Amino acid sequence: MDRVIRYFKNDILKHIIYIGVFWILIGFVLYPAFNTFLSSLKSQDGLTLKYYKDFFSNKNNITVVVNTIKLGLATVLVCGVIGTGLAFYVNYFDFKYNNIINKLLLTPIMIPGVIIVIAFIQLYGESGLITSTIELLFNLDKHPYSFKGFYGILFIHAYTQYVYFYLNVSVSIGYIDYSTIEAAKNLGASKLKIFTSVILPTITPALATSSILTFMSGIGSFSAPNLLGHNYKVLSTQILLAKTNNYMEIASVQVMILLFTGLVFLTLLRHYERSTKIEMSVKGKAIRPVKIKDPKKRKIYMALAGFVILTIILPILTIFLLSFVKPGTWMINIYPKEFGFDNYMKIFTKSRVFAPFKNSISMSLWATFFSLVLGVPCAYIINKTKFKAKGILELLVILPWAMPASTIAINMINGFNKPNIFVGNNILVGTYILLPLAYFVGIIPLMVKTTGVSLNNLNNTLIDASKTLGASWKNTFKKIIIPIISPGIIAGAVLGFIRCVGEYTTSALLYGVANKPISIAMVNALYEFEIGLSMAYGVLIIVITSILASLMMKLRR
Amino acid sequence: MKRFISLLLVMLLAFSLAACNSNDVTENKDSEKNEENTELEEKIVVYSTHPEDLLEYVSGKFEEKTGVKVEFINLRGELADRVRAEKENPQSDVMFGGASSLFIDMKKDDLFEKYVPAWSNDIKDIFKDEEGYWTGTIQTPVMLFYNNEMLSEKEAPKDWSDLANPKYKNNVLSRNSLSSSARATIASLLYQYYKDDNMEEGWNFINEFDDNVKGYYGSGSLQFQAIGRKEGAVSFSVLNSIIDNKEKNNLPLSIVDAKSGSPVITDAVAVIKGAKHMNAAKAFVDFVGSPEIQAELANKFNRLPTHPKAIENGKAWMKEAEYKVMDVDWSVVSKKESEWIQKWASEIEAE
Repeated sequence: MDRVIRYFKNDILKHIIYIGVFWILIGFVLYPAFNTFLSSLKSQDGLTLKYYKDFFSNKNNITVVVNTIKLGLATVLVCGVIGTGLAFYVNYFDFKYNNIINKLLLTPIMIPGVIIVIAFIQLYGESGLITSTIELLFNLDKHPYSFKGFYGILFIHAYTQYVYFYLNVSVSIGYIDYSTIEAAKNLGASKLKIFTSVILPTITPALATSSILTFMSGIGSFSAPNLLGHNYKVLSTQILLAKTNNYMEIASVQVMILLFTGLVFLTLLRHYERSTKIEMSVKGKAIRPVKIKDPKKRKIYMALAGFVILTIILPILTIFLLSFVKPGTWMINIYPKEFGFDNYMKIFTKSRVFAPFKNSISMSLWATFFSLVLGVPCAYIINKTKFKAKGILELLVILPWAMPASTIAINMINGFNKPNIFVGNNILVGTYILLPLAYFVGIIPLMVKTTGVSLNNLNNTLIDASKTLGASWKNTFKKIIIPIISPGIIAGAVLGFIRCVGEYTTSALLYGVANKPISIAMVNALYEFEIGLSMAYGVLIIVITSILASLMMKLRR
Repeated sequence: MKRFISLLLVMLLAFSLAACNSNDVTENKDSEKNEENTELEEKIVVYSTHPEDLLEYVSGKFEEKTGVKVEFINLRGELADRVRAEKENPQSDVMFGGASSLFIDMKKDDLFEKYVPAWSNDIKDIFKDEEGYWTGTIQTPVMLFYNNEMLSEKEAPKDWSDLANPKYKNNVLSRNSLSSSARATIASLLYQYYKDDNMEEGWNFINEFDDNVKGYYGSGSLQFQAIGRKEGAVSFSVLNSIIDNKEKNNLPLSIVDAKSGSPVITDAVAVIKGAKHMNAAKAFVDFVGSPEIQAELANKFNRLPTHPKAIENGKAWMKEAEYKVMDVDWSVVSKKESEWIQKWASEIEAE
């Protein structure tokens, strides 16, 4: 009897969760996006495909679409090579400084995109620090390279987005079963064979997830194409242009094309991921880091890694350096000469200065909290249950990926500028909560995916065992599932939090007088010809996110 | 894991309490006011395109004088979109700044409340809406300029048409099509051909200009830095930015008084229709365009006033009016701008 009641209770709880999850996803993801879809079809005399026809009959528009896809694919390729390589370097081989290196490698993600782009221009632009130094050293009379257009954008994407590969692959390397490798070795398998049939399948979910993440941010990124693209146009900049020109139909068509591109890529990768899915064995044995014994090899390896790491920390050093440059001394000279605390003084003596810091942190915490509440059950339902509508659920969850930040913002405005039934008939535009909700929508896929990577490595036998032994659905979740997947959850939460703290594009469209975030304060300085001041804001963002992120990471165990 | 969750919750609570108690308190009281009341509300919300230190200055002065608290944000290019999006439930009371062509456009969408401040009687008709929906407080000329260590006065361009001269090939730097000053400039230049019914030549000009352009910049800071570091010699920008960079950042810049004149954007102010703090909003418009405040903005922020008395009390160069004004009909430009800029950006700039 007791068990029947418990079972019944669990069932109700399960249904409440299902309904809640769908309510949130439909209300905050699907309904707003559907509004945008409608506006791409709406004309004075009913629904029409006219705007799509017009769009594709112009060859310039086709170039833009091709540019966008090309950029997305190249971003995946470059980030995949760098991120996976680094993940193996840190986790598979045993070196002294791996711990510090690991932290350094995560830093690019803590810096808001705009600031990174500026730092890169200061380093590699036509009169940048590195460019000029190379010219001086080799006595060149021509610029050694042009940091513009496609390759310029790609360089920045590689820098900002390899972290997704690095992080996800790192997590999944932890799940490589060493006993299988040993067994394979004993049976005489070649190194290549071990890699393709033991290691690769284990990291495939991580590779697929990261590919999707980088592809989406590759096709949706705005700061880099806007500041570096010059005549290399992509959809995200064209959307803003159409919007500025008040051509809402064109903007909606472009948004839909971007969304469609994203969905196609997503479907392809999901297909690939499914076809290679394997079940983890129960008695996994974690791999031990391997020592490279040959001193020559060791040196080459270290030199190579040293170079990569230098490239990675250079922009961060630049941001720190430039934040100390005295205002007004450096728009002409290439090497800064006068330093001081002027920029920091200015930040801290300005009135209304602390509000942006407070706003950013509290809004990001809200978004992270929402994403945990929604993301963990979603990931579980998708990966571990036989729920009938889980295909739809999965589509809803990853839909925000196919939307660049500005699209999410536009959808939020369209969805919530009139009374909306999903939020109790309130108007949310202009309220404090709208921006955290937009952040939340943006990080749903990240949260579900990183949790999913861990869940994929969770063996069903354990769950079945727990159920057979009479543990409730709730207890199984709490005692078995959560502990095993918590590294993935925490990684997702930290990543999501960090993404929100420095988020600029959505913020610019949705912030109001009550919740101006720090990224806006930073970019405002940039618009007022104070590069040093905006760098100082950048440094403060990096410091805050590092402190909070390491605090969260500490509590991992 | 448990500790992780509890830390998250504690931080959430702490920051939310800190962030929330400052807002929302005044909301309820304000909505209870009746129409007849002329008493000023406790606060107003200003959406603007002006830089923060200017807004801080104006707000400080206004709070001092009236006791009304000013909350502002600088929305730049997003301003019009935002006001449109909030039409059903306006969050702002005043729109302060933005080109008159934008105001003309937005007036058609019924976004403004008619209000004629006293000071508007003294300013020229070109600076205000004839029906009183918006009024100009600042003139913003867009001027040609060059790095005078790279070009002598003789070599420097004399007029906008020189931007298409092959001798400046790869020596012209421009903002991109998302910049409001670049948009206004390109549209004004095209308007010169449009009024003679000669658009074909106009597009030829833009094409040749594009051939000369070395880079389209997405940020003013990067544009001026590139000029300062001699990546290119010739560019154009709003006058106060050029002066700021000469004075604050010590760039060697010379300004060109173009032969055919420079386009002068009028920065206007308007009361938002359905504003929740209507009386204070009107008081703010009265205040911000008054000759005293216009003169202070002129002296502190290099903003050229619209009010003759403020020009009198402004900086020396403002009195001399040392530049010619380009003949631009902004009501025509406001109709055509989007179409022209879309073509420029997606067909010419992209190549």
